[in-house]
Amino acid sequence: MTVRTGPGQRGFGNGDRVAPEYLDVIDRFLARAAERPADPAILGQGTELSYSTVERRVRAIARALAQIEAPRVLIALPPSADAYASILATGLVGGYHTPLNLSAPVTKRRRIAQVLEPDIIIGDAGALSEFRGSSPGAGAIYLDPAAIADDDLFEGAGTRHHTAYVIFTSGSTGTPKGVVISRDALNHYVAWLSTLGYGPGDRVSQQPNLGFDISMTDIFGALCYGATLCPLESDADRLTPARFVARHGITVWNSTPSAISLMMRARQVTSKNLASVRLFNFCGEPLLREHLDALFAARPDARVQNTYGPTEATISMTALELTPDNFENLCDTSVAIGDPIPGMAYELVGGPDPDRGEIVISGPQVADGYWNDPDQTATKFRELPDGRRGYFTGDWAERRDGQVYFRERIDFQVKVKGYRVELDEVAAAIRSCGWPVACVFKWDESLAAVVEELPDRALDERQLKLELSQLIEAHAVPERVLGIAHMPRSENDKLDRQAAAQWFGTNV
Amino acid sequence: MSLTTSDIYDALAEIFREVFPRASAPPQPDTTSADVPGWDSLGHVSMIGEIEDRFGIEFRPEEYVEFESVGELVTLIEAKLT
Repeated sequence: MTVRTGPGQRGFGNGDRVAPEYLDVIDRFLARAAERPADPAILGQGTELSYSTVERRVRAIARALAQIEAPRVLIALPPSADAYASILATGLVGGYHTPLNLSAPVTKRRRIAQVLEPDIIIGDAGALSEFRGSSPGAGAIYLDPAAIADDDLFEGAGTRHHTAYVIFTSGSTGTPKGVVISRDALNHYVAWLSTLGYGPGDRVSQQPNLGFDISMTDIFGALCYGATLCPLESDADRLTPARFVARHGITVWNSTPSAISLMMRARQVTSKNLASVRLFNFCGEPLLREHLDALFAARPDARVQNTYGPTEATISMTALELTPDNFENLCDTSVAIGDPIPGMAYELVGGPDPDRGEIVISGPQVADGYWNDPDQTATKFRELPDGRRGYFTGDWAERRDGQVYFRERIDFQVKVKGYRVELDEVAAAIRSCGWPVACVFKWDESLAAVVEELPDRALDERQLKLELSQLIEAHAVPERVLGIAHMPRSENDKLDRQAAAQWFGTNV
Repeated sequence: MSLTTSDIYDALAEIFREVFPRASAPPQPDTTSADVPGWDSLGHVSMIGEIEDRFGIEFRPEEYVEFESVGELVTLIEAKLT
């Protein structure tokens, strides 16, 4: 078994945790605000907010949060200065936060609130009304940032909680799974972000939704290193990201590769649109050769970096620099994932040889576990033969010519358009719509499903899709659903997903 | 040469066949994204890219989200062509 570790670090001695020698993200932000208070921190609604203005906002929100000791804070705000200030304020007062994706269906947002049982929910009046009266939020304090004035401020450097945040991903039983990330883990990641060279003068895009952990690359990359954070605030911006880049002179772009697909389809990957970008950083799904062909054709001189990492390893834990000269040798079915960053390690486990297997991650960025779920935690976070603690990703990979390539998900957790979806969660949603027998599978770049028709009820595909869109995210709603008289089953009477997918392929 | 509304629908039908190969019928004025398999955000920007090329026009970012139906899209295209 070959352990791949980051440069300068071979193994971790006798523990699975490196001493927390890295600066805290909150202290980094406060230091930037003290050093260069007039520099622009956030560009929102067409206005630049300085570091001192944002610090004031952080301290005002912190004052309101500090009424609870070590508050557990649910943030239900769109990408905006108040959302970023709420994240920093929570950390400052010794709390931890959960960011919500506001484009997720309301039922899913409520489920997250029910599982988390937050002390405080921050949102505008509309968002807060979604939680009021639903059981979890009943005991929570509701804060609308619009009602928080900047005259009553939290003073000093505050305290820090062990936990930084809990991010919820798709869960197999239909209950969202909370990944618990420590401050040490986050601080380790943000220390590595210095290698991306963020600094004053940089304009950093903020494209991923706040419920997706790669949004934190932008937030902490910008605000911990003195750059300007520029959120994509409208649907129009999100559909035309290359135009957004051109309009705001973005210098660092970070997203899933899907955003580049969007730019490509809109025919907007041009040297003119992307002229200001010095670094493209990718995470969250396989980067493809076509993305690099398009980017380097437009910007052969830009720095392009691929990274890999599940939420459970704190955003990302590998890095691979790509150039017009080297990238063709680093492309297989997708671009290689690269070497671990310093301090982190991964190995390929359980395959037929040391060059094939499941990616198992170890090092200080590995999550503490799943929120209130010791069984799942024990299943996915296990001790390795040498005593280190490993996260078993479920991602299958292969090493070829010294490079490691992502192959596929081992279980039924798939990526659709860059989003992580558990097929079982989609099937559970279909069942809750009154179709007790359903199979869901990947179909090209989307999902498709087969449901067993009922004696008294024929399938209305459009109606079912409509109902599903109220229960699960749009990307998780199958693009096509077909009715079948009898669902294929295996010999032990389990639904045969593969046979169902085959039947679908010949009948669609 | 000026294009009639019917010319625009003919061109859109061709673009739909290319961008949304799974669509079962040509686009009608009341067709929306919910009616067309594959009309998601990627499909949306692909369609607009094709339309821009075909008609030699350009959509501003806010116009990407200005129309709900094919009928409203055609009105937008007509306004740009005049």
